[in-house]
Amino acid sequence: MRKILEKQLKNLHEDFAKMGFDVASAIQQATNAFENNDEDLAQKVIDNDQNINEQEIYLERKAAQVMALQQPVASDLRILVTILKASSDLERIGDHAVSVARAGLRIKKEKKNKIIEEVIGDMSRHAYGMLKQIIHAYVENDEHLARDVAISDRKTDEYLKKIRKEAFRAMQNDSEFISSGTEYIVAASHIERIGDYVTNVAEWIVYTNTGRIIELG
Amino acid sequence: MDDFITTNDVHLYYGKKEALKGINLSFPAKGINALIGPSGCGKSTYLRVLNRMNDLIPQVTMTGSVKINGIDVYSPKTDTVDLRKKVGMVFQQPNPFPFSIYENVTYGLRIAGIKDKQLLDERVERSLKQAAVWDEVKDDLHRSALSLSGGQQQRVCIARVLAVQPDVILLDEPTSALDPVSSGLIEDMLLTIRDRYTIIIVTHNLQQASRISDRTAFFLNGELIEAGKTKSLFLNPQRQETDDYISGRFG
Repeated sequence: MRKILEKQLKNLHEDFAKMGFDVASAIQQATNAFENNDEDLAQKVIDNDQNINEQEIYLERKAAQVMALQQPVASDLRILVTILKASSDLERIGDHAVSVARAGLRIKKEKKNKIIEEVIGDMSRHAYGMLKQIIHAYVENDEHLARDVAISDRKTDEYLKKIRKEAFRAMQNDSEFISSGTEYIVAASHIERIGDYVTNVAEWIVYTNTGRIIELG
Repeated sequence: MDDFITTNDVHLYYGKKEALKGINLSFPAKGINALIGPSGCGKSTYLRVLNRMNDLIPQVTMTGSVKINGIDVYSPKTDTVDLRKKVGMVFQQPNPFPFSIYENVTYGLRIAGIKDKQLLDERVERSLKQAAVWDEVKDDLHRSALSLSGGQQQRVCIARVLAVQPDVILLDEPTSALDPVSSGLIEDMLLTIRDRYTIIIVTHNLQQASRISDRTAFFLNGELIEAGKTKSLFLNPQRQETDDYISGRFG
């Protein structure tokens, strides 16, 4: 009986990590699409979101099934609760990646500000790095790494502040920047939310390890 | 909250074999306490310590102290008949006496010298109602208790314990010989009386322990490994042995 549960937990663990890598790749592609005005790549991110949503539904259904049939307790139950909750966080990150890609599509015909776009690129790469690390922390069940990743979310907030400031300044100086400036702020806000959801995942990794539900960041 | 039952450094030996290795465990008044652990871990032995059922087994020696409501259970002055009126017990196999349902429930009261028919009738009805078996037997209280189903017999046995108005009810795997529906009735019944009695239940059914108990104690090899609120023990046990046992990694 125990063997079945262990196999099912292992499968869910791998499926969750796979979903994490897919979402990370969505962020990476959305960043590239935004920076290079690559319409095809942006569309790919948008189309692929359906696949990410389906992975979340699959994980939720499977986790609920294991709970009902195997009635796990203690650390096994905490692993399942984490998968249930953190898969929703991953799904939301996927949605924000789509929003970044869409902002990139809208901005294509507008007047650009290369300096701000570079900062957005850096911010997005930072969020991508956070997600990759948090998936690593999940796979290795590394509570300390999870906490470090949550701390590094401060940098995302700083990026947002900087981008808002620069965008407002550009918009004040040149009214032709208003459309693109607004999109820069929208994109940066979406990336900032990605950092928050990565922090949520970090909190669930701490829960798996300790049974304590805490607020990081 | 002061503890209603306290046991300190309880060691119990069957001959030379140490079955309980220094148990320190307390229970507050009222509520359901579950004792869990693999076969031979000492949980049933511990339960029997609480109303001196081990006195009946030859070659048993025990040290340590057991106090219930401030009374030293193992004091030479303690009368075991009085003790067992206050600390009732229900066993794994339903063990109704080969009498009528009515006589089963009034047995303890008659021994106590109560003859008042009206009082006896009241106690029978109230106890059978508390034990959630009244509706099924009220039409013929004078039929033999042995003619009832296993689940009904067990509830009549519980009514027999409740009739003498104990403080503590000990149950040693009371549902392991019953079907799921009868087990569910007994679980529901325990939940309705938990505000009035201090209930201690030994169970092999971990789901039963997690469903109904307020506190759980985990025994292993004659030792108390961990005790605490059921919700924290089942979600976040502090000891690896507890996690392993409740997750089915051994036992």
